[in-house]
Amino acid sequence: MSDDDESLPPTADELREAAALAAALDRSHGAPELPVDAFAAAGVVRYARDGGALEDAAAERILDDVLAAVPGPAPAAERPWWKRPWVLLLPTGVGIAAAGAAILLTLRPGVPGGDLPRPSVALLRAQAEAASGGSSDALDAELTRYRATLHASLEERYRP
Amino acid sequence: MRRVLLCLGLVACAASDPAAQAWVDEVRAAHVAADGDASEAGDASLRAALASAPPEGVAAAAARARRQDTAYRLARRLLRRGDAAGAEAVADDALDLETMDVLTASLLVVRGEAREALGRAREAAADYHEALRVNERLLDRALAEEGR
Repeated sequence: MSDDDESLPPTADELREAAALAAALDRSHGAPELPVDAFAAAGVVRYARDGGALEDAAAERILDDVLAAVPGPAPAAERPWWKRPWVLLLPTGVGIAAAGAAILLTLRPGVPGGDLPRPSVALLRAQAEAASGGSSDALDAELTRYRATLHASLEERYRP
Repeated sequence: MRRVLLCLGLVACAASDPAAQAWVDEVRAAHVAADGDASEAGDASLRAALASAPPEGVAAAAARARRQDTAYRLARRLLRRGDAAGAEAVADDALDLETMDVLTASLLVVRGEAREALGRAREAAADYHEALRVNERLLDRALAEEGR
């Protein structure tokens, strides 16, 4: 198309070139169908108009496009069950229960958890004497005392 | 918190078992009956106490202590009446050599006396030796606690 044919309606190619040129002027980049000479012409025109600076609105649109194209942060992975707070509280609760039970049993005199009353030194000496060939009378007497302690402990242990 | 209280409650209930209490009363009654009768008739209450199994609520160590103490007393009575074989059998039956405490050592002593009376000096010496070994350990511990 020559300058002499201005009275004629534009052809389809001319309209496509004009649209691409308008887009290039607006966004500073060309569409695929923009001819190389049209792109260069658009750049010259735009540079002559504003020295190549982007308009604020255009910069905002480009920034929006870039931000939309960037993938967002990955959603937080769900914690496995063994890292959840209640898992930490569970052994703590069990520990408190065990400590409470131990205290309860320890405070009860007698045979807590199966422990027997401690034998006295007198009983053990009488036992050593009997085992060494001496009389067993002292052992019997000391065991009678120990038996009383043992029965008292059992009663204390199992009485409601 | 509710579960913790439930656990503590269960422990408290286990500690106050009526069957266990009846068993403790039965053992005491057997010894009281034996106190008043040194004859063979008096042995019957001790034999009955030995024969009765403790209820489930009784701790194993408590049941063993009751059994060994009763057995010692019965074996001693039999030995005094000259029934060394009976004394040895009773002591032998109640001995639990996995647990070494003052009651186990006492049973070893009375079994040693029974075996000595039966003329089995070597076996008697072995019982005395084992009893002294346990006794020494217990005495060391008792003296250390007294010295604190």
